[in-house]
Amino acid sequence: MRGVTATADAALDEAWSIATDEYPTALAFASDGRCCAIGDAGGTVVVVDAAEGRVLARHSADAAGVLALAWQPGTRRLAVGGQSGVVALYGADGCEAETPLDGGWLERLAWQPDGRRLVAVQGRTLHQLDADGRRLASSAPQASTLTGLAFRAGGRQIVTCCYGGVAVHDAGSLAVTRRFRWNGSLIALALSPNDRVVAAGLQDATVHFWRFADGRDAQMSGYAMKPKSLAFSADSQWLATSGGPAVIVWPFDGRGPEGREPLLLPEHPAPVEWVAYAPRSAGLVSGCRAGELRLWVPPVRREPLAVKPLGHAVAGLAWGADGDDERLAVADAGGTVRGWTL
Amino acid sequence: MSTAKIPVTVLTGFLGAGKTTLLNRILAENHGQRIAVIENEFGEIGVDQDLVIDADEEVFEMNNGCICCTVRGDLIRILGNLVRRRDRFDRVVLETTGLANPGPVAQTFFVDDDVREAYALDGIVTLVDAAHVHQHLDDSEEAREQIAFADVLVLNKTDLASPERLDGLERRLRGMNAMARLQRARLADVPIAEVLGIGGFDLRRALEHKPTFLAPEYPFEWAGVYALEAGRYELRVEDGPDPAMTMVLDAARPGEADDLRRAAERLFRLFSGTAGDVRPGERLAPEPRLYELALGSTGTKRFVIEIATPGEYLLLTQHRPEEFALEVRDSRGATVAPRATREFAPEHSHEDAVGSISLEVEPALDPTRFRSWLGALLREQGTRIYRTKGFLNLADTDQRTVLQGVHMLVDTESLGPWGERPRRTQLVLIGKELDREALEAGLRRCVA
Repeated sequence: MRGVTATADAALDEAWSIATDEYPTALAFASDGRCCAIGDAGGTVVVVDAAEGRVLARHSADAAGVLALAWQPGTRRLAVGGQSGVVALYGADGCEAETPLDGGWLERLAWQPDGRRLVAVQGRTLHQLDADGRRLASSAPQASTLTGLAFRAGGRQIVTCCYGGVAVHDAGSLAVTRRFRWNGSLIALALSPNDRVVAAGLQDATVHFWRFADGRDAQMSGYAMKPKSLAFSADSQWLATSGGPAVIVWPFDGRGPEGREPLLLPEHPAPVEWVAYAPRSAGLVSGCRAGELRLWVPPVRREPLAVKPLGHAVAGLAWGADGDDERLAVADAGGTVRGWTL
Repeated sequence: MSTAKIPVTVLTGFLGAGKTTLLNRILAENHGQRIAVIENEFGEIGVDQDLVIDADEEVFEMNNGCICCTVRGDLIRILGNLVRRRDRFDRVVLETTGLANPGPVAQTFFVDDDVREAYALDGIVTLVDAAHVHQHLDDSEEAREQIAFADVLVLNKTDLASPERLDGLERRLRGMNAMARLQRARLADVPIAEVLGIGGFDLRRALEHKPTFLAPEYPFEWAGVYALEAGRYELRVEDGPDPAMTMVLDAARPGEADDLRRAAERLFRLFSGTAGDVRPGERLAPEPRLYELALGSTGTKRFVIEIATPGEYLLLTQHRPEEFALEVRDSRGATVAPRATREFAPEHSHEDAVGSISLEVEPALDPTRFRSWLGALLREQGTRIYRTKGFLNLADTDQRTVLQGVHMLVDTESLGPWGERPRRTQLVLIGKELDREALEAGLRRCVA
């Protein structure tokens, strides 16, 4: 196994790099980890081979700028959303469907795990489309713009967040079946892979989480800034959060983080913009505003396993899994996207 | 990628005040700047521009429920996305809804870390409909707040109101917000330089534009224009409330006799200089020069005016003439009536609980005491203090410190050495039901 472990002194090898025309706004690996899509603020989507960076396809997707990318599980079909408010589906032969949704930016897209349905967030509304891009249903407008989207319970539920709390929707009807209310502006969402916990970063520089089993909640404060990037580890035991120059990692094993100290990883030179856990191993990457990327394996090692200067602020991170290989794509604000293999 | 902060201009004003007209003027004008527009409502007319983003006004209270911590969530997202395309525009103009309270918009620029990193609030421009604003001010808290928050007040549609009404309105607006620059317009036709790049939140630039911004708008309450022949005149002053009064007598330049505001703009700088003392019986030269009339004696005081060239002459007085029964008489003793007059005094209407208070203290302040005084003041009264601006003379530094705030949020920044400028603390607060005496006493207690 070539994934990150505590004993293997894993190196982060740059496999490829590619320049985007405009600011890179979205990154996503296909479910087999073999290709990676990159969207930019000028509306271009480039699909590259994840091992070598060879350009496989280039689409002019959304003239107003790409905001979201999602690969259909098990296929090479890519859903693209952006500021024009159109969901576009791209396959091997280019654009296969375009579905305009009235009402502004499409900031989030997610496929149901079985690949049969696609959901799109447009402002306060959740839309459901079939695999061919036909709109099937739209939700009632929620309290404010939805800032998080994830599937849960094998695809039977959709979890969203916005100002006022977290909502659980029935994936078929989109109706809200459960709410975790909180009087604050939730700006980022993370769902534990074991479906037990949902955590959110808030505008007021706190992190709040709820347990699905009993609805019990807790708040973590002390952040210097709003935590806008949150990630659970693949084993659901750790929650990594941004919100200042240090990555803060909360333990979710056993009795949870209440009353316990988090891991405070050594500070980046500037506020952390992104955190992301590897899909299989314990690897965690963080990228900061000063353009420094760090690879960690908390809690085994407190010091970073690798530090890479990129030259520009980190604009996005995505992981992919290709068999035993874990692949990482990192976009920077200067318009370079790099592919790394662990 | 440029690291300079992107300037943002906020346009506020009631529906119908002319925001969209002004916006389209800004976009049409050839100023060489590319502007991204964030719109909050469909205005009277559409905006014609490539980069227009419709915002969905989402005001977010923070968890503690305090209005001082409300921000605009939609703006945070929009500005965050816009910064990724910053090579395509030079500045942002943000149009708010007619009924919007500018507080959450302004606070967003103080509170949100990402927004602060990339953007700088250049100024808040409030359009005022000259025909309807009196009623709006009487009826609406939002209208009063829009006036209170402004860096620039554009008194628009002036063709729909009489000159007397406009003067009265201007005095009312001044009374509420002495800090803002006031512009008159008909179809929102103000010079673009008066609206964009004003540095309303950047006091360094604000000062270059108008060095006395902290003083009341005009340091004189009255101006008149007299048509005078060559010969000898006298200025007669009876007993009044003060033992001295500053004044300027000067020949009107072309156009000034018909527009006393222009004359005022030219001459107001004299009032911040040194005045020459003049006692009764002495001569007043008709030239751009500030005099201080000694009025301490009882009974009629006469000052001599000698006119060599017939023409129109301006008289600007610190107080209104009726307070001293001031008049100009010719050599035969006949009263010469001014051809036109104008009052410049701010009108402190009691219905407008909103007002500005400027405070000034010369001795250096103890920084700890000042911070705790200001902190307590903003904590207790921050909900009704809309804007705070000023310069601080702090005992622990030789640098001039600038302070500015919105509600409870305050930023300070060092501006460099004082240089030739007199070292003193000047503070302006715009708010509702502010107690001047308590504020003055509080600030004085901070003296080191």
